[in-house]
Order: sequence, then C-alpha cells, then structure tokens
Amino acid sequence: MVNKFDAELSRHLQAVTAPEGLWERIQEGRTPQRVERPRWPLWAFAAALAAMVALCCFSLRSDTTSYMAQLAAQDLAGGSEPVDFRSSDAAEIRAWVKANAGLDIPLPAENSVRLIGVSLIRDGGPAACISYRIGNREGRLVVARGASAAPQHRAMEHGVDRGAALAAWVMQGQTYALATAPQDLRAACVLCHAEGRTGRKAAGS
Amino acid sequence: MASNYKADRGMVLEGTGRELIESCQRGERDSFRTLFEAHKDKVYSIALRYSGDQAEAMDIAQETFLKLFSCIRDFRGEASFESWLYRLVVNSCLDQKRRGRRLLPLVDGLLDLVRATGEGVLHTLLRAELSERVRAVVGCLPPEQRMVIVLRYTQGLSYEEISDALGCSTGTVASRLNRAHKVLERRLAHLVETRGGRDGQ
Repeated sequence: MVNKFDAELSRHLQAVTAPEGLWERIQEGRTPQRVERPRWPLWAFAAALAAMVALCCFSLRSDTTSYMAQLAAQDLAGGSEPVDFRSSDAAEIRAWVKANAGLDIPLPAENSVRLIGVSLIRDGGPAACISYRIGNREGRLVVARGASAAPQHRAMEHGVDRGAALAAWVMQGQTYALATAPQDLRAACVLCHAEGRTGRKAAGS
Repeated sequence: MASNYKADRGMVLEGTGRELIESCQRGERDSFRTLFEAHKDKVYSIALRYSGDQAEAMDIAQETFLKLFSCIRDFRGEASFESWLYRLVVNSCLDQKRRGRRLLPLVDGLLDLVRATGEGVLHTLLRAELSERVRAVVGCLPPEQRMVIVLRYTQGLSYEEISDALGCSTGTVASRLNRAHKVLERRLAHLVETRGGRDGQ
C-alpha cells in the first residue's frame, strides 16, 4: 500500500548517524544521566508548588483554548476530508461523540448549519472535531473536556488564523473552539446555542 | 559447517554475522565493538525518531546495547539477529517514561540551515519547518502507532519485519499504520500542499 505521505515521512524521519560518545557511555555502563536537583527546604517547595498551581489556574485555560483554536483552524485549512463518523443528524453525532470520546455535546437541530460529521483528535485527552457547512463554506467545532483546574465557564476569546475566524470558550467544563469563515461566525453560534448569540452570552456566562 | 551449526543450535545466521555473534557470546571485547559499530546508527535512529529528543535517544541506545551485550548469550538464532535487536530497541523505547523534552526539531532546523549550500535559506527554513511539524505530529501519535511509523519510515522495514520486531501480526501492523496515516493525513495535508505550492514556485 502506497500512502501519499510515504515520501515526506521517509524524508523527515530518515535515519541519522549515532553521535560520538555512545560507545564510551556503553563501556562505562553508567545508568542514564539524571539531573541532580537541589534539595529545597520543605517550606520553599510548598511555596513554589502553591505559586505554580496559581499560575497554572491562571494560564492553563488560555493555553488550552488557543491550542484548540489552532487545531480547529488547522483542520479547516486542511479542506474537506473524510470524517470518522459521517452524519447530518445532531442526535446521532452527540451519541457517537459520547460513546467514543466521553464528551456530551448538545447540538441543536438548526437548518442554517448543515452538519457533515465528526472526527476524534487524540492530543492528550480525546477531542471531537465536528465538521459543518454554512452555505458552501465549511467550518470546524473542536470540543474537549477542560482541565480539572480550569473554570467551568469562560467568556469567548476571538482570533484569526489562516484566514479563518476563531472563537474559543469554556462552557460547563468543556472547552469549545470554533474555526469558520469570518462572515459565518455569528451563524455558527447556533451549533451550541439555538438563539445564535455571540460574546459573553454565547459563552454561557 | 554452517548447516551443522544450524542443526545444532537452530541458528539462522550465516557467515561473518554468525561468527561475530559467536565471538560476542564468548565475551570477546573487540567483537562487541564491531557489533556496536555495525548497528549503532540503526539503534540510535529508531530511538531518536521515536523519542524526538537527542538525550533520550542516547539513553535508549545505551540501554539497548547494554541489554544486548548482557543477553547475547541467550540469543539462540531462532529468529534473525536483526529482529532480535529491533525487539530490544523497541522495548527500550516503549519502556522509557520520560517525556516532554522534544528539542531536536529545532536543532535539526538549525543544522539544515547551516548545511544549506545550493538552495536558498528561505527554502531551507520552510523545509526545516515542515520537518519540525512532521516530527511533532508523529510525536503525538500513541506509542504503538509511532513505533510502527518509525520502523517503517526510518528503517524501511516491511510489514513482516515490523511484525517480527513488535511481536504482533502483520494485520495489526497494517491496522496501526493505517490509523497513523489517517491522523498524519489530517494534520499534515495542508502543510504538504503548501509546500508543494511553494516548491512549484
């Protein structure tokens, strides 16, 4: 079977020459080097841990939502492609995602947005990438479970990537990222909200 | 002589390779070095492409050769030596738990830039960026799929050879490759198309 990426994969994953020094390491038979960390006093360790947790709570959300928005934009830029589960029925897609990714995505039946299907993305935890069409333009909605430290809700953030309008938000502990044609951003809100609202209301705030 | 040896020990090795392994089994130091030189690039390449990190790859390669030298007396030649070696390096890769240090793409990108001679720097940068993306996406694959991809594209192994190395059926190999291809296709299609367009220009 010849895959269309065969040549690219062979090129970018080509074999390399082992570095000098490998034989010496083997002769010495030493165990893999580990970084020696200074032994901190317990209070310093606890303070650093608390600071890290606070920092993570602050930054985790934004990092995750922007990464997911990039994934959505990347998938959209890839153009029409096969989906793991093809259906235009919101209830069927919801059931499939629930069974395969453990995510509950209530998608209202809405005539202006035609669902195409859904694929799974496995980067860390599972995420569902829902493909849809508004008119003759495609869009993507990526949904993943939020990190445990993340808030249950977060207002919508906007951006642009590869010519697509991006919107990302957190709702009921799940992170949503939308990549769509700029003129379809408002219409795409019906994917999660039958009313088609944008901004803080759409983010569930 | 060789046929007698096969009959006695069940070995399928032939000629120099068999003699080399026999002398390693007798503990001859120079033979270990010869065996190492013959296989070091293969072992290191798999480790590097699997882990995506030079330091981890060195650890994996070191561990693999230490296992090889300490267990070579157990090698009975029922399978080919290459398959046996692949199993050792595959196990070392799958055993290594430390993740997260994936600096190689950047280093490789710089090396590509330094090596640029006949082609433009911009072209080289684009190629380095593409390499980085490809390796990053491969690095995100589940371990079993990633290993199949590495054995297939870094070593050019057939489905049968991969199945020998992994101890699974060729059907499983095909299935893992197919799943990995689907993921790679989804993640890289637009990059490859973009590159094609740029190359065309």
